Amino acid sequence: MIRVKNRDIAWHAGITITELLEKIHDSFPYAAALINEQYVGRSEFDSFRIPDGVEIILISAVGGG
Amino acid sequence: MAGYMGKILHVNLFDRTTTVESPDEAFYRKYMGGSGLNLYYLLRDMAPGLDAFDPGNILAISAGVTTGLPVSGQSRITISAKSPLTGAVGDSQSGGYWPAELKFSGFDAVIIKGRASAPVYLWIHDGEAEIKDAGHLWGQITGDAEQQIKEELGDEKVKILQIGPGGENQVRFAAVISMSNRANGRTGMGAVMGSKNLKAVVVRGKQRPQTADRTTVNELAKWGAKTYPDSMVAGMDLYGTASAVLGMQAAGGLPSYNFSSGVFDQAQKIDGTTMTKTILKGCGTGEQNRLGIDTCFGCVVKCKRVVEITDGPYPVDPVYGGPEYETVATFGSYCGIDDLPAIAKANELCNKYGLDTISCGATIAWAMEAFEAGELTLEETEGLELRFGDAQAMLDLTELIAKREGFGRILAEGSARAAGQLGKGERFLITCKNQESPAHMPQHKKSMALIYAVNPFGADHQSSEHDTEYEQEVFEHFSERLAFLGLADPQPAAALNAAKVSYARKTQQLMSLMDSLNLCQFVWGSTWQLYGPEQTLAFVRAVTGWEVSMEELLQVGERRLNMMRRFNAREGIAAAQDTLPEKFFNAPLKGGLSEGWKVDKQEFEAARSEYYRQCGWDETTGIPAPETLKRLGLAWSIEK
Repeated sequence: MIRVKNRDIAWHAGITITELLEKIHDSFPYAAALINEQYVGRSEFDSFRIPDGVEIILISAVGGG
Repeated sequence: MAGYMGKILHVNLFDRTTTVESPDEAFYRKYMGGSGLNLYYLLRDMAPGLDAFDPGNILAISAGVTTGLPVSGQSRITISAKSPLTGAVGDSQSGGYWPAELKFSGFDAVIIKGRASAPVYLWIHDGEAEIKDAGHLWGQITGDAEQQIKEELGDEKVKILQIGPGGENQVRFAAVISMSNRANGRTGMGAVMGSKNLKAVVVRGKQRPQTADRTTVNELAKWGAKTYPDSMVAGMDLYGTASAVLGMQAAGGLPSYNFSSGVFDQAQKIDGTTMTKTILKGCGTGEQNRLGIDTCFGCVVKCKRVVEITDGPYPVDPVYGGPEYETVATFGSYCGIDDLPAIAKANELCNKYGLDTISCGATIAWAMEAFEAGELTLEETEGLELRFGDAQAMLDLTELIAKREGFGRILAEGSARAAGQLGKGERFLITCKNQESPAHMPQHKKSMALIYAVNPFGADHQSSEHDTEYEQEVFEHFSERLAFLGLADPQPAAALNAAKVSYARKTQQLMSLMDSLNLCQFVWGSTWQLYGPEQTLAFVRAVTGWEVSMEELLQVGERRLNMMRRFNAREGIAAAQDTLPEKFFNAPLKGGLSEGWKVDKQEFEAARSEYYRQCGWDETTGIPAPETLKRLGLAWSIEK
């Protein structure tokens, strides 16, 4: 199971951040993600394999103060 | 009159008298509340050219038409006066529970003039006002004064807006603090309050604002609660605004080493996610999501932090809350400091002494850069070694500034005046109209270059939407909301052309409206916030019963900006002051993604002229044209 945006999503071997975002119908262009405190830049969203049982924090570059 | 309490309290501290004004509906519809209402009194009743510490300066405190209703993001106040930091109009917002309680006490606003002969506080309750002696409270830190006032009034539920020793000592960037952890931080409103010998404004009441259409108001509240978990602001509860640190770092826009770089190698150590795991109250037992977060009256977003540190070199009392993104950046990456407990300690000091965290952290970062460059000597700093990354020096300076002791006497004037007094370090300044820049980089988001410069009260990040929200890929997610403002021409973040100026100007008018409605700009806005502009219109209509249009509402925002410009023009502040520090033009950023980025002066000056033209202001002076003032119903201000 993967925890993202306050919900649990089924994990499967090899799932990437891009696939995960498609699964939750989220097409926002996030700048990065934090996975178990590991920083993953957007350029790695297609290749980074998400481990099972982690929480993912999506990071956007928008917002104020 | 739905939404309003219909009463404005006028206080003269010189003769200790109070009067109550009951404006008509046309007045409220025109100036709306908050900053718009404040500016009306500043412009109408203040003589031009007064020193900010003159008793004739007016300190105006206003809630908004929606304040006190059970909908997220409405419990805000604006405090305005002539600023001792900028010499221009001063203006600052904050949230919490005090704003709603002001309405419950029976008033929409408090307009304060004069200076008391000795320290006093104002006690407003159920439509009554009393001026009480505060000699015994003078000199106390905010947490202690808060407790003592509650005890002497015999009511734990009174809400207290106060200054700390920083305001009493007239530190030019002193804040006004409520709940010991919410700050009207910017432009030195706490110093003005201190100059009036006014320690606190205490409110309590049982009155409630009425609404014209309760059903729609309730539907908006329910929609917000239901939508929040899937919205762009989801996660504000878990990680707070400081979760922006890594986003800024990813974009090369995290101000570091006094704006010399847009990246900070240790960014993750000071990010909001790290804060949640390491220092939020309850994190030791996994209860931080219950004990370590706080909110404002009626708000589901819960973005406020509560830090508790009981051991180590920097213990932090949870009474003083926890740092926001701006605070983490100014005391962290600006100063090259990666020690999150030390940053939380600096936040505690600012809240207990009543200082603006942005100006305080940025002023210290300026001193660190000037010292490292050899321009400031140990003799001038009175023995303090000021080097980037030195957390203890940063904390020592914060205390010295609040107490106006040692080198803090000079830094309490703000970095621009300090540079002037010392005759050193001007090239390291990051100030606009003498106000230190917040943690959004004009080198990265180009419309910030324009807005920091032209904003009437100095560099401010909450006065317009940012460039990143108007980039094509992001714009697609917010296109419906932006179309409601007539914005449908997305631009790269690095562009500063006429289309970008139009985006900056129109969203500035919306943000200006927000500061007159006193709606929180994390909850209400035109892009990523929980509610969009169409809902803002629906909210105002439902509360007031007025058939207002979006155009009429945006004109409220435009009117406020024009009153501010008119106020500044009387003080001799116009186009010459609408500029950026030379550092932004001449010192390209170092390192990472933003290596070499700077603001192009020619492009900036062209954008400023275009902005003046679009605003209907003189293209050379930046002063509102008479016909613009007349169009906005401000002909009366021309003779003022």
